[in-house]
Amino acid sequence: MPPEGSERLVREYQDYNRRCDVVSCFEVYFTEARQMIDTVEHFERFPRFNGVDGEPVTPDFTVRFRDGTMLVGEISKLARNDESLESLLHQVGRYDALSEGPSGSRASGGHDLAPVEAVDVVLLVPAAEANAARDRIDEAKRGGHYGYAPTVRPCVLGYSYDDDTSRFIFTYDDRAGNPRPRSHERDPSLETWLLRNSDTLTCPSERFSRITAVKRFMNDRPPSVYTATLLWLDALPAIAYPEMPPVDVTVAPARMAAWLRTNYGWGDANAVRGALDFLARAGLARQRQDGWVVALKPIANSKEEVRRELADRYLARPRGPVTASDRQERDERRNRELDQTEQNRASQEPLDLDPGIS
Amino acid sequence: MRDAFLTPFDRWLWELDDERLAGLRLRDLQHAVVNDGVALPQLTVLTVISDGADPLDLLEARARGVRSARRSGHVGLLHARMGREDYVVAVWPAGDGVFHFVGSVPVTEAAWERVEQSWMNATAPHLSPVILNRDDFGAIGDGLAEHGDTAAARMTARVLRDHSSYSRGWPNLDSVRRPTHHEALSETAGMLVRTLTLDVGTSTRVHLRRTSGASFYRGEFWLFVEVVLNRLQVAAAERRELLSGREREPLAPAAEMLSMDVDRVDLGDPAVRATVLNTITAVRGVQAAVMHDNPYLHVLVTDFLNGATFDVLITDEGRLDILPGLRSSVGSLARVTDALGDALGMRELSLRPVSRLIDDDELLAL
Repeated sequence: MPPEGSERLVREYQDYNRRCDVVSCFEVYFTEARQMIDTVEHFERFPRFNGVDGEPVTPDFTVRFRDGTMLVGEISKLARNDESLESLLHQVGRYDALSEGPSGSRASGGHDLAPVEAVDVVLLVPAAEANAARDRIDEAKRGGHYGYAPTVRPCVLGYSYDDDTSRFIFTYDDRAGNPRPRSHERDPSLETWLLRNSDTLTCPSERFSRITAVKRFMNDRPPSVYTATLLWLDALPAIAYPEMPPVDVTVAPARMAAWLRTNYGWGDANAVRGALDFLARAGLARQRQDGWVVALKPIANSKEEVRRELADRYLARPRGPVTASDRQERDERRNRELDQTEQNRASQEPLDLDPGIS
Repeated sequence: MRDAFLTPFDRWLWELDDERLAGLRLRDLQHAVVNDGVALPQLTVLTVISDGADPLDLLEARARGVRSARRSGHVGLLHARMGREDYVVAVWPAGDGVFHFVGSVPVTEAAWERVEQSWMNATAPHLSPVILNRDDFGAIGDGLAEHGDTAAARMTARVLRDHSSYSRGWPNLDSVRRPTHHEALSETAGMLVRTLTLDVGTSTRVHLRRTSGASFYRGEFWLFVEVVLNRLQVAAAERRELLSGREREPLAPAAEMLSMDVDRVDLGDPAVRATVLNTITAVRGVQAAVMHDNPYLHVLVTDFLNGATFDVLITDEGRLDILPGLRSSVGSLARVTDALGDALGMRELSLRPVSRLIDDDELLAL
């Protein structure tokens, strides 16, 4: 039976992966749907730019349409407390006020920006919480709570996964004045899709899973166990190449974040540091003055997988040397101590006062 | 080298002078050995794919029990010992990165089991055996049938539904016609054929194995080489080409995937998904992490022997997809697809183009 903490770590991992899948569904809609893509100028999975207040905004995706309007997508898990609602409304309010947005990918990474004529926000909320979200947003707007007074209300779509058909399902409900995202006379659009299809959108796992397998991340910072797993199985072997595990790999968080950006489209030095801290607590990495060293080696036996093994090791907090050089240093220190002990013992032996020698 | 325990055939092969060994073609082996007054014993063959490494060098350096090796021209010989038994394994190149390992040790003996298991593990991921699918069995039977009537003598299989075993033998009785290879194979719907022993004409008997091997029991050895080993070579070369150069570019949408059609297995069943994961993690050197496991399965796989990565995805029943990663290798893909194919009953492994675009209506289907 795995420890309870291990289950919690795995759940965090699964939750993040699910949000990656949700973003991938919208990437399917706006980059692979044969008719819809004619309306799209740019889909951005990792938007990061400054809002009108000069502070960064990082929604979960943006879509710039050829008519100059923008759709901003945000995945939200609205807790019951007021702070959660206030935080969400503040975030949504800033999206509502945006005057520019991502307009194309840069060859060097990141994206360009261009002015937008209108902004629509879609909030993606787990289906079980979607009606509560619609109600609470409506109450906040009508009551003028938290200073929330958007130009256009966000559209709340509920999402769920249908096991039987192996696909995500997104549903709209007009409850509490919840609007559909505006079409701005485009067709197709999310609005026309919803109107044509009983306010329901679907995305099969066969489509979105391929995108998640290539991009791996979404725009929120991942839990450390997630990043650590990807570092362990992909980034670290690539950086160590042509050497193969077991091998000590010296890494700098900034360099590793750059590797992630190049290969997955998203990378953040702080997220990498978090993952390296995770590996350090799992007894698999150590911070040094000049960076980090990771003892990359097979850790999962033939009945186990890396994600669970990393979580278990993290909770076990093993002690002792981490890298090959640590072990060598320990062995040398032990040998020195043994030598010293021997010398001390020799020096403390009684003097040989044999009376026959004189 | 003390070689008192070599069989007459192994001694003959090991002591061939360089010139004769270099000029010896596999299809002429029977003629050459019989001309020297030595009987041709039954021969066991394992066909492997190489990622470019030299099998003889690898085996000499890594394989357990190898006492010495010699090479002349294209043919390599390994002299190995297990317990008090000495034996010789010839390494015969078949073209396109495919090699036949040939020995007189019967397939049922521990010495040959070591060749198939321990030696393959030791040389992974550079060398990998391939598995034959039902079409390969059928094609070999068809090829043999051009040279005489085929009759099934014995067949073994595994029932995929419950993992029970199936075994059937047909005695050679004058009064009873035995089934042709097609008739025998037609009995195995829902099963994974493991071995098939076929008689061809009146004198030749061959034994075909799913795990890329075959045995020549008696009769016309040239026929065994021309039909059986040729088909093994073709199957191995096709597999090598299928699995070669599959690295993908960072962030590029997947344009094609390796797709494994499996027979009568419900990939939506959690127990089957557990089998998939356990099969992957049991391959030597392979480390894997589940990215998503309910209900669709997504596993990130890295071969710590060479750094190759790939994603295994099960999103539809009856099919398993593999998306090669930023670093790919024939050996890694071969070992994992062989293991999965064996566990799940692979019907076919192919490169499936992935359509970049999807009709909007497919996303709106209720």
